[in-house]
Amino acid sequence: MSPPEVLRLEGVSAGYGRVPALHAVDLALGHGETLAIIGANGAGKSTLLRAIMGEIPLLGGQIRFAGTRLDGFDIHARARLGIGYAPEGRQLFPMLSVADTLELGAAREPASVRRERRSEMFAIFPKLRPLRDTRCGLLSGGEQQMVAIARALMGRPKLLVLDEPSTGLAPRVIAELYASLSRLLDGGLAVLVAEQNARAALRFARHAAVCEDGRLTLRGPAKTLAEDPRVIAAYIGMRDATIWSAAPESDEA
Amino acid sequence: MRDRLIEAVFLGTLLLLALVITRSGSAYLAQTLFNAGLAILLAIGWNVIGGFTGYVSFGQVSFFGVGAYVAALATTRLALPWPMAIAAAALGAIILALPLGLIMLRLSGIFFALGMFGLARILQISVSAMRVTGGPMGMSFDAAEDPHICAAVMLLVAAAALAATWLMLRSRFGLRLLAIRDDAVAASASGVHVWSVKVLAFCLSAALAAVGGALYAWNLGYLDPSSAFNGTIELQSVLMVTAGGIGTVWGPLVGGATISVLSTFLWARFPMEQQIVLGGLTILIAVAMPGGAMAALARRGVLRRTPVWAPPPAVTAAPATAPAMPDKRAPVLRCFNLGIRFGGVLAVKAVDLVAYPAEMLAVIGPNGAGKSTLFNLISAFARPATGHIVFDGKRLPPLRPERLARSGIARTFQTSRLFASLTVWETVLLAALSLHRNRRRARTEAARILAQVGLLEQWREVPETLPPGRQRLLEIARALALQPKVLLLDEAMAGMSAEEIARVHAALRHAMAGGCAVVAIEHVLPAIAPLAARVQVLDFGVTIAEGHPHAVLNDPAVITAYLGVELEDAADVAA
Amino acid sequence: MLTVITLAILGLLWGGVYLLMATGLNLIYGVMKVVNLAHGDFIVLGGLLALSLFAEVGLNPLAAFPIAALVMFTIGAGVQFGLLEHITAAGSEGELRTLLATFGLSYVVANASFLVWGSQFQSVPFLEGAVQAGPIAIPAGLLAASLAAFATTLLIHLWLTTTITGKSLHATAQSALGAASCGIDVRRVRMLAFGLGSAMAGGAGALVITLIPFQTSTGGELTVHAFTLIALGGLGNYAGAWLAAELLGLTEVFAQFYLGSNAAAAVIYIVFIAVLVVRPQGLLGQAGRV
Repeated sequence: MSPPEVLRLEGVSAGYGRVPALHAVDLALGHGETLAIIGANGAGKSTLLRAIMGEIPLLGGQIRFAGTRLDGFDIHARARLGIGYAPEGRQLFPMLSVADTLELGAAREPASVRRERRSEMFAIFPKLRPLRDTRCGLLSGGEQQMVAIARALMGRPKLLVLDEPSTGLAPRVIAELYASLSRLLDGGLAVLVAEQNARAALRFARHAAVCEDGRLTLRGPAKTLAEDPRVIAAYIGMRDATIWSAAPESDEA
Repeated sequence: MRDRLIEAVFLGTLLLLALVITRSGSAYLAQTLFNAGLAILLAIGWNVIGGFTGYVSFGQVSFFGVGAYVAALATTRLALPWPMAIAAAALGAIILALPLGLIMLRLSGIFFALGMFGLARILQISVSAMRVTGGPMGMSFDAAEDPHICAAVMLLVAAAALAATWLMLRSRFGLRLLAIRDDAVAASASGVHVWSVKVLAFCLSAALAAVGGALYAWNLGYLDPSSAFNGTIELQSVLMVTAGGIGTVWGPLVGGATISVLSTFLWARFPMEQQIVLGGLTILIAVAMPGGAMAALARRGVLRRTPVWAPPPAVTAAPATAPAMPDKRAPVLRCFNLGIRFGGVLAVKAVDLVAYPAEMLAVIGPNGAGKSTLFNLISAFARPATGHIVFDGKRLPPLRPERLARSGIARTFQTSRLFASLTVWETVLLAALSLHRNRRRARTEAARILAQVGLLEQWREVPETLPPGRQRLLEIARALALQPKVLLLDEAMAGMSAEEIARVHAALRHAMAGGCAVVAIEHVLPAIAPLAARVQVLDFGVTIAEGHPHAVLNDPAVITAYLGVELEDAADVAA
Repeated sequence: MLTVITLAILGLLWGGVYLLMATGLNLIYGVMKVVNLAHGDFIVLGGLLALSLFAEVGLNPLAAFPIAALVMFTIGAGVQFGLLEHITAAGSEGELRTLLATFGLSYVVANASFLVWGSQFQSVPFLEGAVQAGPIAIPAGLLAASLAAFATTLLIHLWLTTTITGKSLHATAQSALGAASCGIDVRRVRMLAFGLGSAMAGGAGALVITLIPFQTSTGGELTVHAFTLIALGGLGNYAGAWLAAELLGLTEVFAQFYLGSNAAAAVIYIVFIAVLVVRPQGLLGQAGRV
């Protein structure tokens, strides 16, 4: 018996302007599941997440969240449905304090609820507690990413969508971040994370998919993919002989 | 052909009207035609700065007023005849615009627009305070004796101004202007002296407005500060240009003619509501009809801008003369200890880099490693906090990017920075013109490079219609047209098909055969691996490995930098 | 000496009035990066509404203040909803089109007001006496308007910094995408901000018409005044705006006294251009040029 479905994508194409950057992607994510989308820069990972959040319009296919078709839902409406989103570049409010930023994550709840959830966040991310009155713009990269995730959790989402949480972070900080994320998973939260940092993501997630040229090319349990030499090939091709020589040599005209 | 016909009809109508009005017609008709001609001239002037240079101004009426007063004073005080007074007005406006441009063009967007508005008010107040201009009460002088002649001259001047913009858009000046409007950074990377082109355009715009003001004074024989610096003139100029088509040759004519007829009609029938209607139209056009009438025509293929010049026939991809081969052993570019901070964080720290002629150095590294920042430092788009650069045996002084581009360090950008309104041909020609003053030479060179990358057949297309891979190819061609000694490629081959990569390789081999050093940032290595002699790996702003490609790519530190840490043993994956 | 002190006090009080005129513009800019070129015309319209309320119903300007504010809120929110929201282009093209739209709007508002109220200078008589503080006499109307202006600006500031709705305005200003991912309807926030900014213009007008006679064509000048102030303070910077307001008030009062009113008008524009050129980021601001 598979868990109830949270997210389903069928034949989703999307892009900027008229040129699709994402080609007929199918994907399903159940209650409490974790899926990592890994791949090199520009492979289409962010485009996929943006399409899910409604940042860019679909050119084809459909997306359902907990059974609801998302067509016509704006970003904020999707967030209200229960998708917590930590966008690329974190998109924090640099001049607002950590406490205020977290509160805004549950802007529609009454003040008492906001405060209660904020304390929960400080319990999950204890590092943030002493920083509650610090402006987000002054935080370190790792702290900022924690705030972004905590803000996304404030709305009690069923699904957490993270876009490149490890960008610009030192290895130790990445480890710390993913450790906190792992602690969240007991409550049945589903997580979809796009990562360039394959190792961190593959260790965190149960399932994974490799994104190449706007398509999901390899899928499977994260453990299996972590061993798959084709994953490295998809990244830089540095050790794969076929790819190494795939670049055209005979072009002397 | 059809376009030429329409253009001829446009200009012919103006000239015909000018001829007819000298022979017959009521004084009222003459005045109406004078107003229409003035409207068109002012719209043309506004379009030069607001449309072609991309600086929306709410104070071009400053130059209208200055021109009117200079002309009036020239006839009354210096007893100059009107033609000379009009020339003096243009000269006066240029003398004012030159220093003003140097100051005001540093501003952008709303700051420039409102700064110009403030300027108009300052001038109005100053003129009101002067005795020689008659202060707030204004001054009277001899007007044109025959309103018919006056109207005819006005129409002729408007026609001449139209012809001038038509020619401008077919000249290297117009090409540079459009490039700057579309993307000033890419323009300076193409060797365009952004600053002087902008100031020149500002002066031209000012001179046109001033001639309008002088003719206005000649027609009326009376001037006062509130009519010479009247905000309604500004509103009308803006509206006429946006209604007709901002940044087009014929937009001011179409908009100027329609709006001036409309506003004359409104003034006669609904004087109270006139400005409400004009303001409402401005809103409507801004919200619902960007680009105005000419954009609607251009979508149907009518009166599109024709490219500047054309490639010469029968071009071969081979260069006319083989350049002298530099010593391959002596590095052409050496960077020592380069570093820069962004907001307290060292984005690049103490990076050394060496590039040899006729050789490719690949710079790789994960996202945010500082590769693009390093390029910005080398190409003078950012100033290093530490370190220095030796290029061609000499230590580089702080230069503007365009100077550097002309002297032999060319670059491409990570995200495509093409000029939206320039064709494939013009894009490359622009760069070639930065190097060769001789027009024939530039055309030959541009065509040769386009042939080499296989884009010559698509020379009429604009970037928007090219697939992404071809767009990148065009950017490389633009950089190659500067005949660089060092070519910096920033992820130039991302998103290219195998066939396009092959073309880039051919072009790069060709350039390297001529002695050019290539430094290429790439994220995905296979695209350049066959060409790279050496690889340098950056992570967190420092060099973590350097050497022969195979050795570097088997370095566990490099693999970790790419794939991240966290798996127990990097060697497991690497094996 | 006494003259100088009196002028200084007057300048500071005028600063408060200027602040009220500019805060709305600052708010709109902060959230949407839009400079509403019809702002001055909104101020004039608010003033003329107060004038009619006074002439027709005998309402005093302080009572007309909330009514003018409410009317202008509706107009402002309507402008955002019906016009500006439809300009979707990003970057400099979006900026240009928004500018042109509000440029046109300023002519529409000014000339529509002209149809209703005519072209003569008009004022509302209110507290025409003077408050005597020792040897210094301060016009009572100016004092009242200035105090009301300070109070309003302070209230708005508190609302912005302490309530969740106020914070969502800040949030939208700093990252619209971040705000939307919090479930904040940024389109509604923008309507609210434009409405609120316009309401502040209207309210300011109701107070200022008791001090300066308004003509329907005064609007453009007031827009530049307000813009000068927020540019001087650093766009979107509220503390900077307050400082700039006081400086501008002082400059204008002193220039008017020593150089005459014509020169004073020019001084404001010269300060404006000098600020743009020398310190485009404003007195306290960091980000400046758009």
